[in-house]
Amino acid sequence: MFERKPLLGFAGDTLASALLANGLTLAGRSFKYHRPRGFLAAGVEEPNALFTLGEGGRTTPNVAATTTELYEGLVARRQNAWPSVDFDLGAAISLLAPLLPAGFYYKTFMGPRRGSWMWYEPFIRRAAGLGRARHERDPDRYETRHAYTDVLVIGGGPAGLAAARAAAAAGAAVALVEQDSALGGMLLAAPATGALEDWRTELERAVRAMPNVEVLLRTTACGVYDGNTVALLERHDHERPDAGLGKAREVAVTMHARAIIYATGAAERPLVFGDNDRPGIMLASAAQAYLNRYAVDPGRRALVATNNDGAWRSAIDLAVAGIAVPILDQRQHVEPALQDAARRVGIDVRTGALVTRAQGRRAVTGALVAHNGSARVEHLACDLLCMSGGWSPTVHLTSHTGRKPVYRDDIGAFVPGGYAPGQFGAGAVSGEFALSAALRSAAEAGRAAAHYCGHADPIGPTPPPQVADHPFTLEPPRACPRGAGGKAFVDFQNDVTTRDLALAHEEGYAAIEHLKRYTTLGMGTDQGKTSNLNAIHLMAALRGVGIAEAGTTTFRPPYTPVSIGALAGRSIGHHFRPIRRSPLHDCHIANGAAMIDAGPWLRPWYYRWAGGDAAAAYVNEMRLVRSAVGLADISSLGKIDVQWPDAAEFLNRVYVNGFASLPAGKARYGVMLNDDASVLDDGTTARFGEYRYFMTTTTAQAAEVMSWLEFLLQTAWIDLDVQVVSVTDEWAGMSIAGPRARAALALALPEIDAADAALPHMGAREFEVDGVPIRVLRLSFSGELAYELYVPAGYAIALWERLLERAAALGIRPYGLEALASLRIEKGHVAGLELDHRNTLDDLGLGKMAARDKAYVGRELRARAQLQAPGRWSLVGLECLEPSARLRGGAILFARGEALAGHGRGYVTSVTWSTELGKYIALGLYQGGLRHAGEEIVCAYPLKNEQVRARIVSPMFIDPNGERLHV
Amino acid sequence: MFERRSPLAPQLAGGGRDGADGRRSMRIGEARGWHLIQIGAHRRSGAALAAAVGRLCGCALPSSPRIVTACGAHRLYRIAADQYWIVTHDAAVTAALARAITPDVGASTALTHARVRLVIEGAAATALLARIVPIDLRSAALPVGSFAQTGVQHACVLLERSDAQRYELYVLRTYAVSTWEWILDSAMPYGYDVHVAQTEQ
Amino acid sequence: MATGPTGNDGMLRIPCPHCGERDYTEFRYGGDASKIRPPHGTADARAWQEYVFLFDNPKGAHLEYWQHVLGCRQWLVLERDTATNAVGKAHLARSQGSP
Repeated sequence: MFERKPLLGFAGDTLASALLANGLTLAGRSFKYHRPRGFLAAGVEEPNALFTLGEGGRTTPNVAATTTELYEGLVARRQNAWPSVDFDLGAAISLLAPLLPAGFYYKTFMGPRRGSWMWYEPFIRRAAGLGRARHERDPDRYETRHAYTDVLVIGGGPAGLAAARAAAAAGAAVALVEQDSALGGMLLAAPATGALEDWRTELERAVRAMPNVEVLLRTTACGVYDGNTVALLERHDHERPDAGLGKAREVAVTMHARAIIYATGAAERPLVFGDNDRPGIMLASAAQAYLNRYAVDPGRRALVATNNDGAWRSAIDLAVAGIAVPILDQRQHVEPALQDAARRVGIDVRTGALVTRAQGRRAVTGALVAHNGSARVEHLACDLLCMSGGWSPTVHLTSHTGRKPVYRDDIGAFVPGGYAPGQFGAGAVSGEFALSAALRSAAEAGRAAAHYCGHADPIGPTPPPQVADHPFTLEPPRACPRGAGGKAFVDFQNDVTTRDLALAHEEGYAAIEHLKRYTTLGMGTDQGKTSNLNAIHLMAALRGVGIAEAGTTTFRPPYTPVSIGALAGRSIGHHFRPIRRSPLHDCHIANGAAMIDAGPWLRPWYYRWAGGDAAAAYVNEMRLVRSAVGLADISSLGKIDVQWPDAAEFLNRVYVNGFASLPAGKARYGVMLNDDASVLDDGTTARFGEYRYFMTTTTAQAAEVMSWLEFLLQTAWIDLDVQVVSVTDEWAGMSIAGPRARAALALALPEIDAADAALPHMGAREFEVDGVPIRVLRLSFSGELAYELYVPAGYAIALWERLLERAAALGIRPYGLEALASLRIEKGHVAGLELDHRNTLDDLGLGKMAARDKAYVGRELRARAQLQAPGRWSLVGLECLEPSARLRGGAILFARGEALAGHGRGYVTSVTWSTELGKYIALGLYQGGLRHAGEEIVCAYPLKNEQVRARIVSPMFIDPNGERLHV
Repeated sequence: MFERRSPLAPQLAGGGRDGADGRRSMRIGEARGWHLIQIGAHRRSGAALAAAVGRLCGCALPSSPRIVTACGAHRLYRIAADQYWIVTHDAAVTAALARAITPDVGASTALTHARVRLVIEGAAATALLARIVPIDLRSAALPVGSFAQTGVQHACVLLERSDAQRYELYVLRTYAVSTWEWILDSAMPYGYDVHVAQTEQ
Repeated sequence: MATGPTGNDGMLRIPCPHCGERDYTEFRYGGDASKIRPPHGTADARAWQEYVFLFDNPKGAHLEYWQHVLGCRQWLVLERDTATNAVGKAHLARSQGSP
């Protein structure tokens, strides 16, 4: 379907060739001036014919019709036609053109009146335009995968085929990628029958028959990265993939190649003359492709305008097909053999002839032609104007790794400025435009690439085709004479003309990179594939310098547009990131837990027994722990097995407090610093044997601490015999807390002696129950009597259920993360919100923990005067003074009466409702810390325009002497 | 008695599905009934550790970081320069190793519960793996009987190729459900059956 | 985390001395490996200040720490050219002086 009108095409057609075959030569309107545009090219370089494909969530805007393979059911719409392409209101803009000179965007954004963009914007956005993205979810499936090969050949034209054949014959595994739906490259535009086509078919057959060659069609190499890693995009639209069956529309492939052969070919450039954008004006190679490959007559009366030999081949094919063709070559002298060949098929040959302006509006109707040495301007009628300004090697990928292309005068174009190690050029990309020379360079590249990968089997040469093969010559493009009239377009997609270039030059934006940003030249979806070199030529002429001096822009990935869907692959929805589940997960779901994301973990937030929402539930869960006994899942804590003779010394180094004297059967709370003396983490380490320790870390820092310990042991302290192994996944953890915790343990696990004598505060013991090891640590996060139980993860649910079941009479219930975090705020324990890698031990009020008689990581830098300054923001407790108000995390703290401006004197880190105190309490950091205890301050929350009075108090809101720990 | 649970219990009951061509070209499942112990030597104890393993497992410690040593009911993997995994069906062996490897011999850490062992087997197994690990799966790079430690969705896994079309993945227990869902999603186009094996070797 | 080990951001290939050449997404970066950490217990704050805060920013050859976190968990010393991003040899950090 095309614009709701059914359209017929043939398999192998592109959308562009099918539209042309149906007589639709108008592809759309231009971006800025709304000029009617046709099809300039037949490949990826197309700047004009951008369409919106698909409907609803499948909508893909800005797709070049010239690369869109036709398939049954394809839906395409023109874009930028307001309200329709046939009667275009926007075309009035062409009358307003002087309002939209080059630098328009730049000036409206950057100019003295920045507000002007606001005024212009709706007008520009509506009139100028590319297609629109949609908000619906894309129902198609996209995937990513990794692939490995010895030699990756990019481009399936004659050079790519020859290079693949040579590399494979030498014994290398070869992947050959081609963006088109067929192999052959420029040969596909040659006549469909004849010696050349026979030779192409034979070469393709030979390559496909090789068992070590993998051919990937409809696959674009989008970017080349370090280590010869190449991003490929595989397209499957032609298969009409059904996402419901798991079929992907596109696959982003990370190809790891040992060697890369660029056989990316070359693209033809337009000529720059007045109104060179009229529909019916196209690249000579495009006309040839439409004629030979797609069997479409691109016109009946053609003109071929050129400055080089390449377009003569196109002219001859058009003439043989019965299309009248005068050829206009700007060069005075053209190879006589070429002229003879053209005349033999009836071509009217004119040398020294320059097209200065096209005629016609919605379609080209003719051209004005100037002749060397004559003032006479001739008018020639036509309905197809083929142009060729020379050929530009497709160097984009070769420079993705940072190698700038270099200019070659003889071909008037840039070639790769060398290749990275393991990379090679084959054929036209290296400036070898003649077929025989291209094949020679390809065979050499194939051999060299295979050799680079360690393969050097002898290979035979690729037999060359039996066709006439001329060396390529060209004359630099000539600027069209002043006063010829019309707009002469350089960048068709972004509507940049020679006048814009002249303006940029006058205003000082003459460097190529400046020119690009000032005029937007080359910044469209086509990335200036047809415009960059013409712009460089023209700017060099304006500046009176050589091309090499004028320079070139930087090529960056992607080579052609890549859909975001392909980059995301399957990392969407609940696959966006991996989710970590506690060994107790299924049990939480069954017990009515509301779950919440905590870093990568999914943790129980609160349980339905306690209330219908978090706000109601957590206070009931807190009351349970303070008055009876609760059970919480703490499996997400990092757990590290530390063993061996030097373990005690190691722990003594990494914790600020002493661990050398920790006896077996005891646990100790410890704090680790970073080298810069900021707090890294806190946690508990228990000693279970002479050389065996069990370390726990916070959930958030588990991976960080593990890597840090390994770093110290493997890079700095290699003389210490210590082994650390992460056992986070091996051991499930649960905390049983509350005044009835010991009674609950006695009921549920009589095998465990939890009497105070056997398991005093900070005691750590290993038990075996029914053959299952259980580690019990008596320590508390909540401030109540509490035990941490660790059990091999597979038995976690069984243990959890046994505790709940057997201690039911004591009122035991599970409690979640919200209550866990709130209980610790009441007790004044710091956690992740306070341990933000910026606060020091002293900021958190833990300075007294640090041992004076031993070295520990961070000791020396902790002593820095700035870190000991009395005005540092340090830990305080806050009590809300307004019964009807609440405190909020992130609120900014100000002294009473102080203007509420700037960064204040600190902020609130953690807030909770205190069931014990009957008010909101918080932890926060405040300038000068507890030296301001008792003062009333203001907690400002600008997002909600709230100011709440609070008092600075000790962060230990409850049980400051720890009596509850010893009940 | 405490019942031992697999984190994949609900997932394994979910059944398979047909691929795009209506077939099921893979079996994906969990292998159970094995034990994993990580052992390590410190700088002076390499020989003592090798002797203990030789005595209890009947084989030498592997020297290759790529090739699995298969020995009776045991498989040995050299996971770092002087660290090894021993996977065995014989719980008595891990218990004996834990006893024998005293601090002067080395260190041992039980990891049976820390990993879930997945088996992916069938004609599309290699194509599936290419979608989930950044590893060269060509047979020259990952021959049958070799292994690689790598990552699936940022979580570490040990990948073993136990046959041309059969792979085993030791995944972290807490990521197992997430990894399982990721694998099944990637396997959609190929189709798969889901199975549990109690004594896979 | 939209992209990752299976995403399309694979760039550096790092030769892990234990596991072989791998995608950089399996590693974590660990800073300048040419700096020598003061011996534990060094009381000179200036030495620590120098070690923790002062870095050269060389163009060209550079030694850096990388940990193969998704592989053997070993810390490596890798040669990398900061100008070209070309990766050179790597050795285990704990086998210092014997690359």
